[in-house]
Amino acid sequence: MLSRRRFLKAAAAAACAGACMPAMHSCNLEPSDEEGAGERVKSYPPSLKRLHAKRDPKGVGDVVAAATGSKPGLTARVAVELLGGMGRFVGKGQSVLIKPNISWMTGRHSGATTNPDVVHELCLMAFEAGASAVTVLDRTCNSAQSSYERSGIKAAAEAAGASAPYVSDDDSGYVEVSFPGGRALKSWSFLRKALEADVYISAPVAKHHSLTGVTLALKNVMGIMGGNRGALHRIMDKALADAAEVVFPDLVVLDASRVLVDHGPTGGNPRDAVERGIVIAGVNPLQVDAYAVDSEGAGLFTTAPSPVTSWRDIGHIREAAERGMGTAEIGTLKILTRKI
Amino acid sequence: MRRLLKARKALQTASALFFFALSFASAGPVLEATPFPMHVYSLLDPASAAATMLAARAFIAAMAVSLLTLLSAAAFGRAFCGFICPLGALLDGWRAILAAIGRKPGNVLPPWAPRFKYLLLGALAILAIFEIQAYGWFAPASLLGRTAAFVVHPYADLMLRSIGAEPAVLARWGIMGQEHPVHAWGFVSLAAFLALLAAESARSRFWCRTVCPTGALLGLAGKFRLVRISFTDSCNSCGTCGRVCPTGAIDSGGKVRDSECTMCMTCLAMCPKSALVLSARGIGPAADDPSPLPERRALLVSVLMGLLTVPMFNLRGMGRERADRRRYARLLRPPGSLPEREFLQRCVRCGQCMRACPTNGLQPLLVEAGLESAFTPVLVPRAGYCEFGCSACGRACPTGAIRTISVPKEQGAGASAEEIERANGKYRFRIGTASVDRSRCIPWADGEPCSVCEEHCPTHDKAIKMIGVEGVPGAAAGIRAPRVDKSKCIGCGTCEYVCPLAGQAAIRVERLQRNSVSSRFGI
Repeated sequence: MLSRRRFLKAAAAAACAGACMPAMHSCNLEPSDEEGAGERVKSYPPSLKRLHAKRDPKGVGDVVAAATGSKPGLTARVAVELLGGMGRFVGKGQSVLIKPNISWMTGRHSGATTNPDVVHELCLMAFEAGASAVTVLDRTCNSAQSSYERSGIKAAAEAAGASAPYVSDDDSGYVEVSFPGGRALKSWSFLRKALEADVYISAPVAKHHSLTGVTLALKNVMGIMGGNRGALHRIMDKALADAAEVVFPDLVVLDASRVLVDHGPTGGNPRDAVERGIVIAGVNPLQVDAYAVDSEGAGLFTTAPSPVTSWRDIGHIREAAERGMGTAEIGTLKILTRKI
Repeated sequence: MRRLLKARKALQTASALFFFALSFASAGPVLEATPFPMHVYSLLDPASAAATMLAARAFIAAMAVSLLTLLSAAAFGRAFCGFICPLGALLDGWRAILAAIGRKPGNVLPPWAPRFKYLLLGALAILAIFEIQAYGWFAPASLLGRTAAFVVHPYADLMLRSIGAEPAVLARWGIMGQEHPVHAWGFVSLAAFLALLAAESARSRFWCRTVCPTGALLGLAGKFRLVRISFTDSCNSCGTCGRVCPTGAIDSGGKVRDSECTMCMTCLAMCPKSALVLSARGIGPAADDPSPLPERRALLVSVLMGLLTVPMFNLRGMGRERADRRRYARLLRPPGSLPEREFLQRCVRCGQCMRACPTNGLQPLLVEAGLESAFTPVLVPRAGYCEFGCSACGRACPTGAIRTISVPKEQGAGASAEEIERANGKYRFRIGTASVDRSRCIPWADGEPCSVCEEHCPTHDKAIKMIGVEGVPGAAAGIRAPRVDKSKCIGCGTCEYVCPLAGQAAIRVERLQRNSVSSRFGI
């Protein structure tokens, strides 16, 4: 027979187990169905600062800075200084998010991920400008652990005092963002941590991409997008422009110190990467990208196996330019260059 | 005497804790080598070692460590079961919990029950003679290893995530590091484990006395042990020892069954007259040994049992070609696996590789590829892919069923394509080959752009090439579609994993014929 005391003990144990359930429920193993996840958020809470941000709040204008040098970290510093220095973008006590490309585990020599020295320097500069916290992250394609470690970026960020947390696919970490003017997408989920940052610095690496031709700053936003990103490939150019209209960085620092010109975006054979020693900075990803690929600009891919000579060759850059995200004509940009 | 009991319990507890601590150790892609002896318990089992070597017809050097356990049995009988075995420790712990809520399982079993384990041992030995590895399902380290991999690990992951921790971060220190572990058929392990606990709630050490074939072998060796428990003259036949003995090894008549006694010291501690002593054979008073060893008839049954099950497993009779063709085409073994038959003979079903796999792509089979493959690992690319820079499964394997392959941490600048391929074992041990299902693939079937598989293809010269599609109705100009260059494909399944189609992917990896070793480099 079950005595009362034993019954009570068992009931207490069951209640404790039950109490743990909600906590466990919050870490869904299965993605929720699209209807649930796609619930449109009309007005975003103020904590999602990126969704309330304005373009170019410091009034930098149509300026693109390009620095050339043999040390990628120093080159990145000079490029940002040409724009007025990190202090122009980062205020005292602000939280900074740096979004490099950490997608792959092919290692730093492959040119598939942002040079860790660039990331390290950006973290240092953000702290020098008074940042309260600097976070470095990317939703990787290979497993987070190997990509973060083998790219050298986790070590570089942590050496500068920044944190480099892995990005999980767990749905609770994402916020559904609607694209009112979207031509391909009505909404998509974005990483909450990224949207909550005071300052968002996009730090992509310039490389070849088999579908979109090249991957630069405009495409770098995919690293904070959730869901089945593969499904975007059918409509990639429009989808990237849709996203760029709603979520945009305060500062773009494009690492072209070593450019993967073939077999991108993964690379894996260091011979596919070419030393260029360039770092390009700007506030508008469209202008940075246009300058990077155009033969009137840096012309990073003019000698690649599939050469690119004009920004109009690249579908998603063209698409973004048509959306009125600013001018992409190289002649109308103010170009600042410096050789170290 | 109570001191001895306490010391044994402490050692036993430490061993169980060590086992479970090790079950959180990993050798993920980030580490060159695991800093922990992950699979030491699988190597300590002499019966498993003998069965595996017999089935594989090979000497497995690492498993020679199990001789230590056998030697300990020659000296102290089944002391391993009382001092070291983590499963035994767990069952004792479970009884301690039961005792705390006032339940006390009995220790009386019907006379046939203790004999069953010998029959099982015999049957498994017969199967091993026929080159069939069935021992792994019963080896305590494997049983508990699977429980750790398929039950404890996913649960620990869930708990860590529920408090906001990211388990993958721990991989840097060689701990856990699997991303969202979920294992098909994991619930079978859970059910088996719950059944063990249920049996323990009815009769103390039920598993160890009735089923455990390792216990059976140690019991056989223990029949001639040097140190044993015997009675002195001060015994007044009160029967306490017989009642408290967890393995029911003491008869009412004051006789100790050496083949059942695990030297747990409970009788020594509980005897009101301190009439029981540890004594060396030949020194102390001798006790009768009514050992429940199988008689001739039972031995015959055991052999028959083994022989009867042989045809349930084996495809050998039909020849290698036919067996290969019949084999489940999606039977993608981990990189570095021995050729299928040798793999099955060596794999002790301990679950370590599946726990070590950082992407959770390695999943246990149950019946999909026949009984012989139950609880062996298979790569399920839709669940997770084989990461290019990782060789964790090979390093986790205790028996060499999965060989450790070399994967460089980073390609050196300027290496030639040949050098890159030579340096990376993934090119030598190809898991399978991908092929495109053009009736489902987005560019082929719908004429719309997609190249996700090609983008993610980790081979440095891209085993997937995008080619122009002409003649696809409705395809825009310039649409390109994937085609697999079979000479470059390593079968890692990345393409299948990332294919954006819902459900079945439009690019799928299938097993290579014959074996997993490419002839490209003459191996």
